[in-house]
Amino acid sequence: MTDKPSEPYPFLDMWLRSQSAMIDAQRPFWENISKSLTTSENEESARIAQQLWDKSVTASRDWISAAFQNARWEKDANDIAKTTLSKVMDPSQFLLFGSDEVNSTIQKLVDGPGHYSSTDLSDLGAQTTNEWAALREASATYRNIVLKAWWAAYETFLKEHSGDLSKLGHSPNELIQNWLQIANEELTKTQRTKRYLDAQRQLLRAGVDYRLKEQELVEKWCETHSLPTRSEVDELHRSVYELKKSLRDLTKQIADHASAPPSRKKPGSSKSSGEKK
Amino acid sequence: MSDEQNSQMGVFQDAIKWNDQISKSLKNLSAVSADDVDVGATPKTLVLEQDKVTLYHYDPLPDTEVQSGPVIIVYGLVGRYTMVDLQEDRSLVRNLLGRGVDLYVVDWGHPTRADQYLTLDDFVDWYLDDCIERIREISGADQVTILGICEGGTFSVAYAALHPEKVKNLILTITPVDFHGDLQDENEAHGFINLWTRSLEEEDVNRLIKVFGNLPGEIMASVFQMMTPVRTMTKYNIDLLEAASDEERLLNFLRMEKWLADRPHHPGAAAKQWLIELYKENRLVEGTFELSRRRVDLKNLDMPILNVFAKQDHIIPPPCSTALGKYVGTDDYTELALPGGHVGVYVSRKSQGIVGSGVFDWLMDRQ
Repeated sequence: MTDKPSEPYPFLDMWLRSQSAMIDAQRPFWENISKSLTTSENEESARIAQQLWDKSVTASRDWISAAFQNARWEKDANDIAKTTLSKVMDPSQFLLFGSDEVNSTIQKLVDGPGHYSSTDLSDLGAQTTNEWAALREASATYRNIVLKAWWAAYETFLKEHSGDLSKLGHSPNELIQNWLQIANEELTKTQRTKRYLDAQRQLLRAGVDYRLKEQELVEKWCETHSLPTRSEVDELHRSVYELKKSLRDLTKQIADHASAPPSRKKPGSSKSSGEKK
Repeated sequence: MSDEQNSQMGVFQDAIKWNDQISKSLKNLSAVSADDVDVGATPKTLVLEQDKVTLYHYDPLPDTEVQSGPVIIVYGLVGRYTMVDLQEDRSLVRNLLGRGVDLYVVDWGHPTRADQYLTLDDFVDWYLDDCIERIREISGADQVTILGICEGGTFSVAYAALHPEKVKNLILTITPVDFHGDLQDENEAHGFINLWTRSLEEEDVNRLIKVFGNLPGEIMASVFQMMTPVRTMTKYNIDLLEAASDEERLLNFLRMEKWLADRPHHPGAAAKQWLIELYKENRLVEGTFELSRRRVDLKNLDMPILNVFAKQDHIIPPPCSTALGKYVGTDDYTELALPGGHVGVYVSRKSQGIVGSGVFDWLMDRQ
């Protein structure tokens, strides 16, 4: 036992140490973050978004390392708690909650080494430059909004713990649950804002535009090499669909005609499904 | 031992308990195999197959006498019907079969890009109508009771409004009818899908579907995940580890995951109608929704109706379902409010008996 009043409470001790170190280290960043998040524009925003993102990831990792450095749990439990908390506090988890097929595609494109993957189509990248730039811009804006939500949750989390020392002796599981509750409230609130919905719609549009441009170029390439294009295959599907539908209508008309009572079998009366498109 | 030491000991014990739980979880996870996670396993016989659509007739349970006329379960295109038969002790199908209901189910299959031109008209007035005709043929009954679920409930409403003469009773569960009903729901966590869809322009929906041909199942899954953000963050770490500490809970978790992962693509043309005409323009209650060039008039719903909804449904907020009562053309309209959320109606242990007996008792009074 030491003479430090917090020593019997591993979490209290851990929090006091980590809070102090972290807040000092982050002060310049905190002073600039709000301004940066709201004024970043155009291509520059992609760079700023990435920078902010990296800092957020680092902040959460630093905090977790500091927090667990002095924890007195059994080693295995400590490691698992640390891994779990690292996972759920990672800002990228906030981004993932709003991801979808298009966003994932966008993400792969943004994170990838280049903005085209079909090396045979060597000029595809050059021809999709505008769509690519719009995609990066939309992605940066979206990331910034999600990032802002993460920081708001993080700030609340820190305030809650530093303000009420009685909570600090709680278990790793309770600490995680507390973070999740705060995160859920912040995310639910954020995703209902016009800013979030607009940003996500812009990201969706940019992703779709990019994919459509890509498809257009691939179609041209296929035509050049006498290969069937996506449009041609789709047209074939449409023909098959319409033929099947006509066949179904005719079959039904015949069946209706055959099953109708004799008194109703008047010429031209068997058009029960003739209204179908 | 002092209070301080007790407190410290509490933290140690909690950490050890957590560690034990995780050890058990890892052991259970390594022991479970794919064959253990079976869904939709109640025996049934295929009675109609058309394109990717199949109609099944459930085999009666042993020693159970059929007491009702034919009932068809109609699920939507955004998920699979297997949700109503997730496992033996959490199965609406078994619940109803066990009480003597003559039960059928339509499976819309897994549409591909080749099915992108299928419209809601086709699903309601072509495939569903053919299923009803087949059931009438097999059972000899003139009319069939329809049990519609979620999007399938909306299909059922449309079918019953267009063909009331073929529908004996209409049972709806967690079904959207007023797609702007979320605005009447005070719970902020409800109805994000309504809000999200309204935030899109019609052109956004059209271009999204142009890219993929269909509305990809993955996108629908992501929109659902957005509605419970933290659940999404913790599902495969905290939740899975917790569930895995108990073998039965682990299997329940994995069955639900299997159902969630089995999310078909929504045919493109039908998805445009669903998102634009219904979610955005709310045509069904506006009285302007058309299928097969005929207006879907809710006043034509003159058969007995049971409308089951979940009080904590974040996907279909209760006002979206209960609005139906204002528009129908029957006095025999009943609502059954259940505790819990959207999927909980079918999979929670608590709801099993309430839904099964609620539906059965109502049905038997109307045979």
